[in-house]
Amino acid sequence: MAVSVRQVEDEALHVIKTDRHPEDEILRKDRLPHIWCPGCGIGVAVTAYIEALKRSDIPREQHVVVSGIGCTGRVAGYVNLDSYHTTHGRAIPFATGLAIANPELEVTVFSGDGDLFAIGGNHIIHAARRNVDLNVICVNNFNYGMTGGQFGPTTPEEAKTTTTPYGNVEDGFNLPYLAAASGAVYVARWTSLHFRPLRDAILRAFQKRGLTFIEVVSPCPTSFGRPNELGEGLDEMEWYRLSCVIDHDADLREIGLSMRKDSHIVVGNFVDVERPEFLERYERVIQRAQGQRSAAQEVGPESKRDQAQAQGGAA
Amino acid sequence: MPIGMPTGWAKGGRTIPMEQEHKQEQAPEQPKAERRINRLSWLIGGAQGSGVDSAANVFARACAHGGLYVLGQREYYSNIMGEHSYYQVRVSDKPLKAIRHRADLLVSFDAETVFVHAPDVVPGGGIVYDPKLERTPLERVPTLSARFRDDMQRFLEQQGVGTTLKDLLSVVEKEGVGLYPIPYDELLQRLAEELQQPLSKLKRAVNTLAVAASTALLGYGVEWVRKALEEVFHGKAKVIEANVRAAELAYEYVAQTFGDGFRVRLEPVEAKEARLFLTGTQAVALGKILAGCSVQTYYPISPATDESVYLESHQMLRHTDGGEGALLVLQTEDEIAAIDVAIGAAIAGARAATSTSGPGFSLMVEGLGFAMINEVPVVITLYQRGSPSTGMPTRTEQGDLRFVLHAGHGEGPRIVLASGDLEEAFYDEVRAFNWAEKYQLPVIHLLDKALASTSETRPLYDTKGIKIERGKLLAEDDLRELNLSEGGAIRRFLLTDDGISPRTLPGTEGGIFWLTSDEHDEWGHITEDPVVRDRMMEKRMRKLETAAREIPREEKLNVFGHPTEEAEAVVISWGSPKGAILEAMELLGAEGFPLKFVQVRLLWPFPAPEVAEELEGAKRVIAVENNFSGQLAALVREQTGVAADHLLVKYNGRPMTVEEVYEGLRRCLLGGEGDEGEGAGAPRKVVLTHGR
Ligand SMILES: Cc1ncc(C[n+]2csc(CCOP(=O)(O)OP(=O)(O)O)c2C)c(N)n1
Ligand code: SF4
Ligand SMILES: [Mg+2]
Repeated sequence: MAVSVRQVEDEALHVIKTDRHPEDEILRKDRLPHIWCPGCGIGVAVTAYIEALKRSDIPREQHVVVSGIGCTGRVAGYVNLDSYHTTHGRAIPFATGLAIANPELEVTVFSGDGDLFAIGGNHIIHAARRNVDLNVICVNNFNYGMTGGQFGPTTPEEAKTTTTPYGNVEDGFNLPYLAAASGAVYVARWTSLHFRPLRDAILRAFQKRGLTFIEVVSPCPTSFGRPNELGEGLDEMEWYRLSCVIDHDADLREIGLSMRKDSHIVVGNFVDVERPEFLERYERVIQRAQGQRSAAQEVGPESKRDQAQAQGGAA
Repeated sequence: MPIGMPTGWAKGGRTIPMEQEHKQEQAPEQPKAERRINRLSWLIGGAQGSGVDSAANVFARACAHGGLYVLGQREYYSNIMGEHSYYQVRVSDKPLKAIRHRADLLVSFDAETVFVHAPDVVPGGGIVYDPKLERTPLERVPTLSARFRDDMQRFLEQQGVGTTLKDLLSVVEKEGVGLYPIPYDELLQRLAEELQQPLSKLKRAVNTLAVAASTALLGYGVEWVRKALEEVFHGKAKVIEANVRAAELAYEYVAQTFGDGFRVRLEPVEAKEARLFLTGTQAVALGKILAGCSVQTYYPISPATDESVYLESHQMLRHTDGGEGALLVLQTEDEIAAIDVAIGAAIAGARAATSTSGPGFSLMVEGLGFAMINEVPVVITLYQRGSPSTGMPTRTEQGDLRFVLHAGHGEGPRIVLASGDLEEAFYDEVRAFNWAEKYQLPVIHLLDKALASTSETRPLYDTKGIKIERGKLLAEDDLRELNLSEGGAIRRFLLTDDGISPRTLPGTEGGIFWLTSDEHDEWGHITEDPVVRDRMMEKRMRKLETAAREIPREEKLNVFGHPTEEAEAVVISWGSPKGAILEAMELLGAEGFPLKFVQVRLLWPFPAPEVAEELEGAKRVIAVENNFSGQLAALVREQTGVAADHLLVKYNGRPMTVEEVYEGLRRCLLGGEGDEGEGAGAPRKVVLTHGR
């Protein structure tokens, strides 16, 4: 959806002229102050989501946010929408339940790297394979922020965390590559510096049917920035500015993130493909089966399934 | 009762002896009547991440260096920054067992701390605070919960005052609490000028100013603070210099402004023995090291993670015989993996453990079943926290007893033990490994957040008596000697009288063995034969009988206090309430209520005959637990037929304090205000509610 210059100016004036926060209507003011540290990148991702939501033509009531547990997991508590703070790692299964029970809902999963890819790793690859209609936004801050900065599934090799005091011995996941390989129909990576492209990527995700995945590379100055000498949140944003390369056609195998100072962070909207969404396929199969059943009923009383049940099988 | 809780000065609140030997000092009219030496309850609070932890650490270490005993409890939110956190510290020249919630001295540098804790300061006590915050109204402290704000507002209204910090302080002052405003900004400014450093770099020294102001009021030498600062900021000469100077400035200011009128004094004493200053998670970690644990797995979770972080920093160990050993600490992708990796390591011969809290243990249940049916010696250290679900990650509870007893589908053998303090936490962890290997089953060691975040000074652990018992673990020679190898393999599940079968490690010549999660025969091969099933079920469960027979009585339970005939009541409990019960018992004993206390340490196999014996003839039985339903009480009833007459429970996520348990037990004995009749009308269930 195109946005006119006029509209943007209006918004800017609104900020200047009033003491209201531009996102007041969607943020839950009564829950403030929020828990996030100064310089944390999660807020930028939330704002991008809210801005996308305001621009989307899907009615507000249909938007739902599901989070897991973690600093990012707290997003669910700050938006004035139907939103659910679930259990650690399980946002995707809960969200799947919502999405398949009510296809009208625009379900967005908002959670952290640890939540989505360590304890919840199994769920995301299967939801992507199944192509459930979910938007997954992963704030990747390379560590478990909430529990005090332990390493996680995206922590780059050599990075220092509370539980890798001498440097991480493991490799981190390359999230876009993993999501694409698992079957996501839309895959993007931006950082908390790239507010507008991020907002537009979320908007695009709303339009897609099927599982979309957006990685938001984000500073966690408290737990990750400090041990790795990345400075304050703003310093890390400056690092993004210097090291990010926009390449929508990047070879996903090549875009893993590393701690090397001279390395690049490749960002972009990498995948945008069509693949039938889970419920679409499900309906198709049911219709076909019903067609066969009515055809079979004309021939004889027993369907194949009835026969199998009569013979008694068990696992 | 204001703000929904009994407090020292609140009108209508009955006075609880603050310290046994100084009861007469309670009257607010004569707060400075007599000096109290080396008996102190101290509290510091502030926003999470603002240095409260290190301030408390400096204070505790300063006291410890002066030969005093220290016991602290840390309360914090599951957020990383901003929310209110605090430390309660008790100091004494005698060993301490539990925290008290009422403070002699409240130390603060933000408004929230004063709003939240001022009601807990005793008459004759004092509050150290920042005078620039006096005009802060309640409404302007955004991190206060709405519930607290409402209660406090109502209280201040009742007192006929406004809602600023000054208003509250005026109420408190009337109750005999001394006010000690310390102009931190001014002192910091002076510090910056003296050191010629920018003020912005010295902001953190406000913690030291606050701590030092309090030790100055207590008349405790600045040299002890200096020693503590040198230790806490070890290796950072500049930081030490700045903080030591800050401490001196605070001492000067206190001497000039307030003199030495504060009622409680601290004086250094000579410590006769070397002491440790450690936390609960460290005590357990040390137990693991001593037990020879060589693989520890975990997935980060409060309040268990600190134990693994500590072990991780001690992965290379130097043995007393000069050798070196490694303790491999593996952080897995979730708790399902954590327990399974530990099981795999245990099968391979490592002494293996995993450490977690409720949500993590929920995920471990599948692995637990595998360990039970395959008779794998694995240790699960479980720190209980506020539950169910994510619950209250950083708050305490004893809510998982019934869960761990029954966790898993079907029935399988496990041993469950629970520690009551940091002494037991250490030795119990060693015990857990020995029992796991002797009886070849999972052992669950129950602790909780309260124990995890307790820090205390204590004598060194006596490690001489520690034995590593590996049970029927056979090497190649043993196999040959016992003639157990048949065709190169062993019957891993050989039926024996005690239920325990010989075990080999993978790679043992002649000792091949098979495991399956299905029911199996002696060889570990799948079977559904009804007779073999019976034999295997009975064999596995027989191990519990063996354990019950072999484990000495004193490791099953502790008994304190008076014999049953003399006791007004028998208190029964488990785990962390131990310390508060013991101190409350002393207070009640002095008032003419002799009590007996049975602390159950082995929860499964349940020591039913021993417990029944201890409860027999009791005038009344009072169960004390940090949970909603009295899980131990129910277990005792199920196992012994004895129903507790009273339940003293607490489930607001905070540990029990001495005052509360004292008051609660009294109510069970005598009935209380609002209870039906005295004595016999004492309530069946008393809920303790103190918490901030
Ligand atoms: C079963 C279970 N295990 C562990 C935890 C503890 N826990 C809470 S949040 C978290 C990590 C969060 O990391 P991430 O998803 O990266 O979010 P961030 O805080 O970095 O935004 C963990 C391990 C839990 N709540 N439940
Ligand atoms: S710990 Fe890190 S992720 Fe969590 S709020 Fe602070 S900066 Fe953000
Ligand atoms: Mg994270």
